[in-house]
Amino acid sequence: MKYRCDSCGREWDYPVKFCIFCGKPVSKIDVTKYTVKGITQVFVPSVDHPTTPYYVMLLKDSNGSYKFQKTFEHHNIEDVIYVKGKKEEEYTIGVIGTGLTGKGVVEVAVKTGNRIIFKSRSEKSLEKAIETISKSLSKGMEPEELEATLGRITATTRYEPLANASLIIESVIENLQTKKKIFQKLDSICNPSVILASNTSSLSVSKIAEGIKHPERAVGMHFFNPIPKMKLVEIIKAEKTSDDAVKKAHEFAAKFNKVSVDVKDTAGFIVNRLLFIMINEACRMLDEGVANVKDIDKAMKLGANHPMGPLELSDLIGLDLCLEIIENLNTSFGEKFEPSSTLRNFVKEGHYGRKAGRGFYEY
Amino acid sequence: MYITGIGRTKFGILEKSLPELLYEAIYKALDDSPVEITDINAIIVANFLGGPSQGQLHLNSLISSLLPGTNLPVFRVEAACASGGLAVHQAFSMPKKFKNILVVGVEKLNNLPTKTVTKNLAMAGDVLRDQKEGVIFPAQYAIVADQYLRKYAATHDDLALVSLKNHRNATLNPLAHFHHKDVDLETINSSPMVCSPLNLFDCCPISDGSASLILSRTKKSDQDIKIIGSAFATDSISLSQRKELTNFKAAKLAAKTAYEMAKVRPKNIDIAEVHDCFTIAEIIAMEDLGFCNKGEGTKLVRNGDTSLSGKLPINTDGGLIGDGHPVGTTGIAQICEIVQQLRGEAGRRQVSNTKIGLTHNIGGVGGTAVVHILEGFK
Repeated sequence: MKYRCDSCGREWDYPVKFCIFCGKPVSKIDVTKYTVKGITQVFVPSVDHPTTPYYVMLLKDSNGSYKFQKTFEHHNIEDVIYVKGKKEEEYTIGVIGTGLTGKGVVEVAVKTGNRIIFKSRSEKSLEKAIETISKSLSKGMEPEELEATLGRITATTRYEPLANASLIIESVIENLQTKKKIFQKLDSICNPSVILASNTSSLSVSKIAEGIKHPERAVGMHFFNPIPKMKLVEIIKAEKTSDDAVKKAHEFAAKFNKVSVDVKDTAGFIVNRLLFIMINEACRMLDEGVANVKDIDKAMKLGANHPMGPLELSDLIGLDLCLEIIENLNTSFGEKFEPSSTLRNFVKEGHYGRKAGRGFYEY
Repeated sequence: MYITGIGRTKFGILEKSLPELLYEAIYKALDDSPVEITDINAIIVANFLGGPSQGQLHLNSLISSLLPGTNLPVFRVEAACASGGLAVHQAFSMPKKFKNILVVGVEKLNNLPTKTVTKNLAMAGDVLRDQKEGVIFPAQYAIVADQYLRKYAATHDDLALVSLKNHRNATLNPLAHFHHKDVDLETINSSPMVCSPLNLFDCCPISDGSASLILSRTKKSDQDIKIIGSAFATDSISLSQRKELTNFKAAKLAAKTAYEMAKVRPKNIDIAEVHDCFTIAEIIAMEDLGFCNKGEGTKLVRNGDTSLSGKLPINTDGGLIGDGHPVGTTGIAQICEIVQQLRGEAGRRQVSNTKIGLTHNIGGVGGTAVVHILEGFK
């Protein structure tokens, strides 16, 4: 995207509105056709460009202006290249659920330029959720931009407005029957091209999608809290999920500025399976009196370069939730996820972690 | 304005911290000058990546800590690789009430992984147009080299000769990053590719180091060297925002102004330090400075005109390629070398009969250019 003064022809690469030399308005110019005028193959990796070798092309447009373009393909001098304009495609994304994760998904999806149909059973909870999202977005936005962004969210208590969304992400409580009902309802009203995603962290996506007419479009998209900050989305391919649906889920994740990974429909997927065996094992070390709370956390931070120790992290997640997840994993994987007795005791006594003011640490 | 004292550290991968390097260079410059620390009225410090690489900004106050009780005005200048040259120009442009000004450049980069340093150095380029598209620093000059070689039918052999000369000069400079490195054409040509067509020996190293100058309004001793030209110009930050890709408009403008101020012509220059961050940059510098016509820089190197015994020796200290490139320090180190040569104190790399010397310091890929012309008294 270039900005050119209608009067003197000076150009900017930044969105200026008026020419500083003649005070005349500046027009946007969207060029798509370029000729390769120079190329170098880069062999040195850097933090933002770790995969080498890659090429940097010097491209010239028909007005004689240049731009650089990174590519992994070799091009010859004088090749003609078509580069898509900066304008990003806007999708309609349906989000169901006004809890922490539902709000997080709405925030990242609307922030990246999409329209949102935000569905919940109660108008009041929708209102409250949008207020929270607005507060969070307002930290980095000018008032006009915030208004425009919030303007892309449509709140509804009905399913019908979701019928023509590109993607619907279900983010309601972790209850198989509830999620199944939602999938059946969506399956019956939505056009078959609509991707149905569950943001489940512990249930089987195949089971959630059981019995629907178009199970090939059902996929898992597991986001991580706090969603606006955490980069990862696990993409879960259920038994009948099509490759196309998986591919689209990855594309949507990228569109939301997230990094996605593939994982089969198994309990805990990647992150929770690994994370909770560690958290449970840290608690078991307490059972056995191997080390104290502070030293376990300190050791993992300094010895394994974890940003937080397993016990302070479990306090943050909530010990009740930790126990629930570990019990689920225990059902699937057996003995290796046998919950620690210390963890059980803490939960029994209501020491749920940070939210309760007391867990492994006092808050 | 006169240069009444110079001092610098060794360049290379150094153990010393940023304050230690600063202190050593300042100490040496004051030791070399008749001017005492108590006679200094202001300090200008040049540095590029203190923030990203050391987590240290507010360098003017840090310098105050090194000189306890002085409470002097200290200014910081940042213009990527031209920070040093710009600091000298800034000192030159200061109000007359500042009679003695200490200029010091410092850079400390080698305590981080190379991938991070490469990213940090790329901060000299536009964040969206260059950094996002993977145009790391060597890639900028690779694009320039690619354009130049095709435009003037030159070859990589022409570039290799620049590297060979500068590495040879560095072996005669005990403070150079590559003082102990014996380099021949085979080593250069068989080195790994960095950004085609530039290989490892086309590139300057990533160096730590510091250099300092004492500048005085009046002559202090017979060893003083006079600044007879000091000029500076800028250009757009990205190469892709310009029309000319094989020379730098900012360098040509700065050179023109400096020559006019000094009342000399390119042919009067006896010795020069030019900004050879990459071999191609030395060739372009010679053309921008008017030492030859466009497209003829390679000829000057091939004829040996720019070697120690040639008619216009260039980068006698080894240049950025051989002496090293502690980014914010470089422009000041270039002046240290010319001063040593004009004083006749350059040891085994001394060039005979030099009276007028020039330094050419570039920031980024020609986004900033600073040219100084110095006159000796011999």
